[in-house]
Amino acid sequence: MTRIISCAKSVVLGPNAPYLWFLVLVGVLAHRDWFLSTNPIAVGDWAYLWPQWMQGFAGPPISWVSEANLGYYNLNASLYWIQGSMGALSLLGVGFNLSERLFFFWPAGLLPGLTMFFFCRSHTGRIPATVAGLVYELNTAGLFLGGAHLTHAMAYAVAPLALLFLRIAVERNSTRGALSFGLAFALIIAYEPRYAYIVAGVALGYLVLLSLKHPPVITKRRSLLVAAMAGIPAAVNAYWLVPAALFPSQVFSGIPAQLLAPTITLPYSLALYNPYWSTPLASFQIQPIPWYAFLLPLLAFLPLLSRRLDAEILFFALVAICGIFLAKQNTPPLADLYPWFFAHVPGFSVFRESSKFFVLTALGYAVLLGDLTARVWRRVSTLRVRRQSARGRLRLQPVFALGAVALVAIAAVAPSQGAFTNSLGDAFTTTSVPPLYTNLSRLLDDGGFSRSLWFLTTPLFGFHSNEHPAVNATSFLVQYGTGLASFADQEDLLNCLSIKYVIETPDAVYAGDSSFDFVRSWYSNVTAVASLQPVPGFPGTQVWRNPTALPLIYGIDLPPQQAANDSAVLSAPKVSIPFRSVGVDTYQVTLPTPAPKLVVLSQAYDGNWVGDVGNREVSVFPLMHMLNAFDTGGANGTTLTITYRAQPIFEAGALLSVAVIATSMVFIVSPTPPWEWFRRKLPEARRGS
Amino acid sequence: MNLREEAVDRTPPLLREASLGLALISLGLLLACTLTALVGANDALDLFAYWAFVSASLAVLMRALEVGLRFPWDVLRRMPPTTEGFRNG
Repeated sequence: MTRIISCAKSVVLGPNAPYLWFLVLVGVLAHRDWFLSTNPIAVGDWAYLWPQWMQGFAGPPISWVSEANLGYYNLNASLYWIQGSMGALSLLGVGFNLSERLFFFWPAGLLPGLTMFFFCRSHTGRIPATVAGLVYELNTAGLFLGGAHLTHAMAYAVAPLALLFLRIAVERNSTRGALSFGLAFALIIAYEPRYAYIVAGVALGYLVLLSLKHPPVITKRRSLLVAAMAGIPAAVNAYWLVPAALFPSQVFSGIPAQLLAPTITLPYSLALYNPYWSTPLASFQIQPIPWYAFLLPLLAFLPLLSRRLDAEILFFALVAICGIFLAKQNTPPLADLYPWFFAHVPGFSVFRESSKFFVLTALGYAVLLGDLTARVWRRVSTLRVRRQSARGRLRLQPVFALGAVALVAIAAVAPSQGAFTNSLGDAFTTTSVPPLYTNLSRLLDDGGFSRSLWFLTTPLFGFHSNEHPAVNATSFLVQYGTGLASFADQEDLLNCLSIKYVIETPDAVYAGDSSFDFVRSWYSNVTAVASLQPVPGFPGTQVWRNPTALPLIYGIDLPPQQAANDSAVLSAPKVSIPFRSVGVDTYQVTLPTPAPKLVVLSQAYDGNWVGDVGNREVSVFPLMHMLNAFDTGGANGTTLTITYRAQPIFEAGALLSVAVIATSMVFIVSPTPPWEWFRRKLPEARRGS
Repeated sequence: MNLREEAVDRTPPLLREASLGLALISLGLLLACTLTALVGANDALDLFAYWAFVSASLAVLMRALEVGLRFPWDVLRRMPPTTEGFRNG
């Protein structure tokens, strides 16, 4: 505790303090609405999360998430510690407005500059480290992440911290450094595993370089530290990495990875300039590069003219070159190399587009510009100008400090000036929850499991939770086939999918867009169902209630051989059967006498759902190519237990994760290593006995 | 260990001079990029950016090669001390 307090004291009041406060001030000014407003921030993919959604994640990690469409294997499982914390705070009454700021916006707005400052400070001094922090924080590629991709922004912010701990671990042979690196890297994985893939490459190269600089290169102790650095992130994330390897989801395994068309060409990549950057931000509209954006690479590569170049600086120049090369994706030069990497390098296929590689260029440019400032600073600090003035000797350092910051202001801040005028829009400004959606949330959250079907798409503020999933009509048809829109028996289709509400909200974005006509025709067919009841009280919005929607689990009297026959399934008689939820993603179904031939779990079909009747495993098969069906085999009056196969590993892995995090934290903050404590105490205990 | 001070004589002078030359060319081309972006000549900008990147890459790779040649690789053969104390930073 004393260590933490002294650390905090030195940050707030120590010699670094003026520079850190300056970076904090810049971070606040560049993201004014994040800090000075309490309204929610929701835009694009960053949807508003209702308390019911967040509370669904308080507890053990969830392997199967129900909240959207027919549910999906939890692809965001790495975020469990963040989502779980948001859920726990939600139970204490902390809303989305504060939670999203605590776990995403505030750290994403402040950390990039601070972490880069600490990374560069010990090598370059404080003024150059401040310059590096400004470059890393205020380049348009980094700032753009805060516009909508907050998980990316957080991984981007933590990357320099991980590299700093790596350096401490290798240079000082420090166990604390190694453990801190492990936790920082685990945090990067948690926020965005794809960034972890990139940062791992840099860390590996940096580890080799530092080991060579600090011989003996390979020692037992260094090997142990490296094992800890690799082992901690793996152990902390084992809860989702192991199940992902053992039970690949069948929902997504059939979707081929495809390279997207490139948007970042070499000039943008070289200038570290996001092609969509404009004031206000114009997503998906490529903007011209302003001339001053090229000052950044021009200054960053200036140290290459020096005859004396430190190996570390050269390493980061190489990192920048790799970043520029990869970020330009499959455009010249060597345009075929990126597709080759995409097809052949393990793990590279997650980079369908290349903007994530901007982090390499940002790391490289920040370090290079820090080095440039340090060089000029050293040169200037050796000069003393004597002037006859009232104060006597005048030193150039303070003047240079201002000049260096001003230079960076032109090179790095000028392209991102829109951030300071608070005119970028998107996630840089706050919004408010329209009253319509608050009223809709009260209607939809009505106890028991039910889905709502949103036309044309689920809106940003559309209510959804694991108990009340939102079905996005457009993505649902794209995923399961547009033929569903023309089914004659729409009423039974809605019932089978447990859809209780059908909602059409005004959506100016898609108005007049004929490519959504197939969704509109589905809406016409659905609302023609005679049993749907209009729900009044939502001006400008059509809301319909389906009183015959089936629950999450129900029985159906149909031979298993006909499960793929859509019309046979829809016309077969269905029965409600009692079931209860036990734990996460596990259900106990009490089969009546006589038992229905099939028990249906109204979640997306996935072979990892398993049933168990009297210690006999019941295999799952697809119903209408969408849902899960279990053949009861006439097991009357018994209990069918349905569970998602990966869930027990998620829960065991979470315990391991807690143990590793807690042990590492205790070791990091304790004044003496645990083994020293045992070494002292054990002989005393022996003497005592 | 300071890498700059180790075995400087092993560095081929040509490599460093070529690297410095390429870095200078790269910076000149980046300056040209700035000017072409100022006047909005996009075709020229693409061309200058292409060669600026190529020359900067070669300059960095040559410097890396130079550092590699300069590096005393016999450190890999140095054995660790027999007793290592545990130290925490």
